[in-house]
Amino acid sequence: MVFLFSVNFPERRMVKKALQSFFGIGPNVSARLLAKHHLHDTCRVGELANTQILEINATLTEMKIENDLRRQVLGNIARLRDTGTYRGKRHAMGLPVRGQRTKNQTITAWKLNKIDRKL
Amino acid sequence: MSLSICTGCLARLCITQRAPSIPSRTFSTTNPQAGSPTSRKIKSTKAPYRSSLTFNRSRRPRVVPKLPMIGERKALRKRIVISNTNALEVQGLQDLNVKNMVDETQIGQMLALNEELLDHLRDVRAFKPTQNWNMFRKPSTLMRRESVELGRAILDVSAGRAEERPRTVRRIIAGERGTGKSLMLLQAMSMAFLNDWVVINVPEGQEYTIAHSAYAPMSINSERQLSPDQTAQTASKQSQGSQEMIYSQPTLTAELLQRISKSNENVLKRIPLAHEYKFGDYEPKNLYSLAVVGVEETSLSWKVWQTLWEELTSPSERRRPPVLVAIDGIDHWMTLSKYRSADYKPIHAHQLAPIRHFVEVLFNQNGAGQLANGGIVLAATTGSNAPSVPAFELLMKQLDARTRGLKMGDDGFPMPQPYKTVDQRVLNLLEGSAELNVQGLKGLEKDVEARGLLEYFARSGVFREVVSERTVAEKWSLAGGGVIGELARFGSRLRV
Repeated sequence: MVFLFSVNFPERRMVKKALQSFFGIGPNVSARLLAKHHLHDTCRVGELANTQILEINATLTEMKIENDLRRQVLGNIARLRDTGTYRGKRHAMGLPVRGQRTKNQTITAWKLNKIDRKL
Repeated sequence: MSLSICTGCLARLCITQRAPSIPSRTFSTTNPQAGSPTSRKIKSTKAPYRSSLTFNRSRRPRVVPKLPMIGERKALRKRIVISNTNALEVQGLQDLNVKNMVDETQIGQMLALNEELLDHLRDVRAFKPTQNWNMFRKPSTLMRRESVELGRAILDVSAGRAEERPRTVRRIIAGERGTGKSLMLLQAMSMAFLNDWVVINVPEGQEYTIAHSAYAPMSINSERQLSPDQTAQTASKQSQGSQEMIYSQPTLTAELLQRISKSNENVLKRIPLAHEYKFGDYEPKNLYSLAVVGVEETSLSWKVWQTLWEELTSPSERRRPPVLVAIDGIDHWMTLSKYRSADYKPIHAHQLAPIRHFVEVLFNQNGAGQLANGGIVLAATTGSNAPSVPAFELLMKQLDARTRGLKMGDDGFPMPQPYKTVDQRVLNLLEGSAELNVQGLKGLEKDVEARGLLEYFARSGVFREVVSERTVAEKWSLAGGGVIGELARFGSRLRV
């Protein structure tokens, strides 16, 4: 088991997938991270040397991911509401924000658009 | 207790009455004790009080399918079976040896590979899973005109070394899918092993470019691996417009060294080192122990490979054996690889150190292709898995034109289209590669080679037709003019 950004990963897990498990890292960012550290596409977590693990951890610490990113997104929504913008109001009301029609169902908006949105 | 009948006369005994103690059954092979009708409990269909009548999925035991072990499926897919004991033994089948590999009378004959040779070929990964070795008793190859010619080249180089006139043959084997390019490499390797050469094989060029194994940046001058801080510094220098970055591939190099050390063990153990080397705690004494250092210490593999190559190809007082370099699937080395640089730009295949090395040897760039002890550098293109590389296609056309006697600037010499960008790295290979020629493989000759192959199939019991002029002509035409891969299909399945 290997710790990456204080999460424990089994050794068979691909580094690409392990990185993608963090909030804020998708396929693109993950591929760029691999390239930055000269890791090949099919590299497994168990193959990483200790220095490489430290380097990856250092890079991840500098990035805005996980709770920092969640806080930022929630902060953005709260700011919109506090300044009284239309988008802020729509968030608060749980209605579509970007001009979608509301004649019929707006299930995604009910689920997602909240001030304290679950991320 | 009174009896129901009179014991004196037995008058009321009815013999037709069924005896109650012997239950009659219909005919069955089942053990009668197993299914006693009286012992079977009748399950009540009534639902228990206040219980759910619905079918509860969660209460069923969960059936977890047993997955195969890690790597098991791939091992099965890549499995190579070299002989089949169910196949008929072909009487009078000769083994390939030093004499008959150059004998023109053997053209159209199948020659078997002996046990010792098989071990070497297996270690060097000369066989491919797509070839149908598993249908025959003993693995054998067809001697074509090109094979005999190749055998002659090998003997020439051996003779040249003996007379201290080292010669290097460079050749690209090209041809359509299934024309026997990989098998030509296999034959070359077999002949080289028979002549005690050192065989270096790259069984699949694609492995080096698909980004499935480790890579690391190296400094350009010393070509040694860098620490991360140094990498950052060198990368910043690169961005200022200096030389390009070279990347090592330690795992693949270690695998290459393993193939070399395992398959050439006897030859390499006999050759002492010309200089003394020290790699960490290792102090190798001969070429074999040198190669083993690279296998055991993957981080040292590139350095070890460079030393080994220098030892094999530099002039020395003690005679070294000639070298055969066989590369399959060279097309993949002529384009961008799947690896990415630190700033997420694709890395060209020629920036990868092992590829760069072999390409320089093949195309004789920067004097890298001069083998002091002689040798052959053979590369085969791939027919079934060819990437689209316009620059390499053009280069092949140019090489072909050059073999026909045309020079750059002549009419009819293929040139890149002026309004298209073509990979200059690939086109620049033409310079310096004067001795390189292209051998185009086509279908087999109908009357000698194709007939010999079909006769072998028939004698092995997989081709159940009379091999006559008519059948040979029919199968030759069906196989697109004797394409050996297509002809081999007649020997890949038993037709009843």
